[in-house]
Amino acid sequence: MIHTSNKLAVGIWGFLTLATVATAWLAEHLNIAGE
Amino acid sequence: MPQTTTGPDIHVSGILTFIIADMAVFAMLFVGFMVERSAQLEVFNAAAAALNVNFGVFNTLVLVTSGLFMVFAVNAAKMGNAVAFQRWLIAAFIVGLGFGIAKVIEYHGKITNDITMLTNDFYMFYYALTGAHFLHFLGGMAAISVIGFRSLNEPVDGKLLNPIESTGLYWHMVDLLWLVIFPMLYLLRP
Repeated sequence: MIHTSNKLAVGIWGFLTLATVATAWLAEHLNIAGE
Repeated sequence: MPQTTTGPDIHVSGILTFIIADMAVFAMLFVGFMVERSAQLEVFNAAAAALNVNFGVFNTLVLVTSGLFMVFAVNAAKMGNAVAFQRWLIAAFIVGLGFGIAKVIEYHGKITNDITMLTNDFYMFYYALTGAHFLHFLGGMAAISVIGFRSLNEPVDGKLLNPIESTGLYWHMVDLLWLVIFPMLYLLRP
């Protein structure tokens, strides 16, 4: 059975939330399109 | 005789097989998108620049948060706590609804501006990827509703636990696919 503890889930959620906001911000301010 | 298991049980294996197969199909679309993008860089960059990144960020945060509530719901079910399960499941459903509403608003804005699948190849991929993902999202919302209603009459840590776990895994797949679709469509631009 696959088990993810609530604490681990909160950690993953926090990481993904920060990563989403940071990536979107960086994409707006840096050229990541590879030109 | 006590049973020892070293891997996922047969029901969870079923949904994992489906998830891997489904994600393989999406992976082919992702590769197709990147190949076509490299062939039409200017068209794809111009079209991507017209997308609203805020919609993408909002949808990502909504799906990730809904996924978190789903973990809480599944863990509550494993402990046999039906009330907590139902509360977290409703939370996952309501937050998930935000994704659906935002997507409908976004599609409506595009279609009223005459931006369709036929506009260019970027939008062909945009509608194909987000449309296929949206159908998966609707399927997930339906599955959440089914296990929610079933939990009213069945113990959550009995036979219902397998569909609950499978729905949870499926919901995380919907989340994971969006985590690839979002940067690919909304962020890859100059």
